[in-house]
Amino acid sequence: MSLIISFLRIVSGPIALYLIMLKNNDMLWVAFAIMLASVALGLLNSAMLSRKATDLEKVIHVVSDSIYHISIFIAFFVNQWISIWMVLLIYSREIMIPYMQSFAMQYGIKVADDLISSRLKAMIHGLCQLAIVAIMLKQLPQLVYGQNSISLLISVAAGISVLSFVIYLNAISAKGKAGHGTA
Amino acid sequence: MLMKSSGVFTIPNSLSAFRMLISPVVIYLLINGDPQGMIIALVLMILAEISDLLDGIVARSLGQTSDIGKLLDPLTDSFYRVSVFLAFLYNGWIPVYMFMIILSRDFIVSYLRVLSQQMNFTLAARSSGKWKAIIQGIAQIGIVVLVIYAGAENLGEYYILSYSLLAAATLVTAYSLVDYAHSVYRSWGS
Repeated sequence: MSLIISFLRIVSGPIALYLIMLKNNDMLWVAFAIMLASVALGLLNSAMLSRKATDLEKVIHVVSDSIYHISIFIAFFVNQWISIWMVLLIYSREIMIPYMQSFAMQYGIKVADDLISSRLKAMIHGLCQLAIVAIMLKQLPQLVYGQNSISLLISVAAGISVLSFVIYLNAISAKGKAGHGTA
Repeated sequence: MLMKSSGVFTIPNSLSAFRMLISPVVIYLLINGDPQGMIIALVLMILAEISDLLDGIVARSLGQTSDIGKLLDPLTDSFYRVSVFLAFLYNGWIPVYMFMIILSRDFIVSYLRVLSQQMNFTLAARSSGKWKAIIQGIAQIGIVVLVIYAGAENLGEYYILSYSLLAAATLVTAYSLVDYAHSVYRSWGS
């Protein structure tokens, strides 16, 4: 079940991306509905996985989350709603975490995939993205008064990415010092 | 002194880190659109490719291979290449679907590494990954050379060439993803 939900979320990202890029109000409503469903499915999947999950299910869930959120941010970027630097910042966190995980695991350090900060990051990204699309639903075809709100929302999303990265780094470092000498 | 004491600041690791550090600079120069900046970006991109070729060779020849180096090399490679493609996307030089395939491949392969370690085997570097890097490098440099030669506004005249370069990079990237996934699947089965 979890794998099916993850698969649906991986697919929903590019579909929403395409719909957002069309810059059409009707299509944006469809994108909003897909995004809402995807956020709900993400929360449901997290709840399911926190009870019982295989390594494969956990990893696929994290991958689906990354691909889904990045797809939406890329759509915003292509539409020039957000800056390239914010996308780069958010992308950096997403790509660095699995490499850090791999590195830590070479030393026997395992940090859970479902740290609270990671879940919080996923939830805030989802909400910020929904809020940005909601703003744009009122703004199309021209962005009149929402740019400041969008900048604020994307700054929150980027900020939580950085915070989640730092917390992850700390968790690895603390575990390394506690049980393995160096991280 | 640092190089000997920590084992982190070695020459090969510095070469890898170089790619990561220049990524924002290359992005800035590419999106700025200034012709002189574009030439500087091209020079940096060529240096990045040389550093990618050299870091492994230098590490082996100097006996400076390390776990962190094995992590840094693919990480900086991924970060640098996606950064350049992101600038291409900003400039409208790459279709979104190609960019998404390239981006998704890097996410999925990085998590395949995690998954394989959780299953107690190491996902070794595969030749498809090296080919992916080479073809992506050729495509990126090729596109920037075309822009410098013809001008960004005339890139459409070389549509078939630029599209072919990017399509080749995307296809090799997709193949590399399948190859890595298949490798994990086989190791898992055995």
